[in-house]
Amino acid sequence: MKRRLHDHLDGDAVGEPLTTEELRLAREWEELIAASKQEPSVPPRIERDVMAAVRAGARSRLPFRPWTRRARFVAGALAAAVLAAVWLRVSGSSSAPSPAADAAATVAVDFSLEAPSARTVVVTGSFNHWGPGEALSDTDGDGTWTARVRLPQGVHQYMFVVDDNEWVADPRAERLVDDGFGRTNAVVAVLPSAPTM
Amino acid sequence: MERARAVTPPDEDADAVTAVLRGDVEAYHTLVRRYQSRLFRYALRMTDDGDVAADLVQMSLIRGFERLQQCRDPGRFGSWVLAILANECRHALRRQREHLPIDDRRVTSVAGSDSPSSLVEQHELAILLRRALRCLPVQQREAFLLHHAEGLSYEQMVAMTGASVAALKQRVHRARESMSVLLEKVR
Repeated sequence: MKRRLHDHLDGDAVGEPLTTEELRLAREWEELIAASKQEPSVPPRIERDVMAAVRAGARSRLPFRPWTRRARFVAGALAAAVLAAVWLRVSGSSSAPSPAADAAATVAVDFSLEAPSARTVVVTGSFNHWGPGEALSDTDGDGTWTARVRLPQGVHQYMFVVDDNEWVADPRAERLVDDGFGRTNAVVAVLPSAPTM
Repeated sequence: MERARAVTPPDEDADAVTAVLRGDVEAYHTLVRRYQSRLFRYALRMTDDGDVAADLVQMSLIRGFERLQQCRDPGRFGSWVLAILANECRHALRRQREHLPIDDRRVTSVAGSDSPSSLVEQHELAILLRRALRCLPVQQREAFLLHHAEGLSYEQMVAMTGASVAALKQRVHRARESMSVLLEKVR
C-alpha cells in the first residue's frame, strides 16, 4: 500500500493528484470505512440495566458496582479456584455440622478497617449482590471501623466503601482477586467458624 | 478524508451532565440513549462478541455515572465515556490474548465461503470488515476504529490512549497494510 494512499486516507496533503488506480483503491477503502461506521442494533438490556444500576446507586448514595453476566462468570471461576486453594485458620469448635445444617447456616464475620479520616465505611460484596451493604462503626473514635455481619458459608468477594465514593480492598484480607475488570476484590472464605477480618 | 463530526451540540451534553450532578439522575438516561449505539458499535468491533460488548458498554456507562464529577469537559461527554470504554476493551482483550498471527490459515478464515463477487454488497462488506478486524492485533484494531469508525483525529486519540501521534499513525497504517493483504485475497 503506497504512502500517498495512507496520507490521503489520513486527510494529509498528497502533492500530485491521485492516479486512477490510487483513486480506485481510495474508494474501496472509503466503502470499508463507511461499513465500519454502521451502527448495529443495541441490546435493550444496556439501557435498562445501566439505568437500573444508576437509580439504585443514587438511592443508596453508593457508587454502584455492576455485576454483569461476564463478571459473574469470572467471579464464579475465581471463587471455585479460591475455594480449592485457600486455607483459612478455623477457630472454635471442630465438630462438623451436618450437610443440611451447612447449607442453611450463616456465620458471624467480623470486618474491620483502619480509616481515621473516614466519615462512613460500608462493607458490600457478592454475599449481598454488591447492594447497599452493611455499615461499619467507630464508636470510640479511634479510627478503626468495625462491624459483625452474618454471612452464608462459602467464598465471598467483598470491598469496603469509604465516604460513599472510595472503594477499598481490605488490606488484611487473606486473598485478593482480580474482579475481571481491572480492579481487585478481597476474598473471605466463610467456614463453620469464621476468622476476624 | 473528512473526519466525522459530533452530531450532538456540546451544550446538550453539558446541560445533561450538569443536571445529573445536581441530582437529576434521570438526565443520565438522555446521555445513555444518546451514546449507547456508538459505544456498542465500538465495543462490538473491538471484541467481536455481542455479550461481552454489551457488558463492557454497561460497565463503562455506569463508571461514567460514578465518575461524572471527573468529566472535565461536560460538553464532550461522548468522547469522555468512549475513552472509558476504550480502556475497558483494552483491559478485557489483554486478558484474552486473542491476537492471532496473519497467515494463510487465517486469511482462509477471513475469506470464508463468500465468493469474491458477492463482497460488493454493503452487508457483506460489513461482514468482511468484521473478519478482517478480528485478525488485527488489539492496538492496531483500536487505532483503526478510533480513527476511522469513530472519526477521531490523531490528536484526540493521543489524549485517549496515551500513545504519540507517530505511534498511532503507525498503528493505523499497519492495520491498513494488514487488512489490504487480507482483502486482496478475497477480491
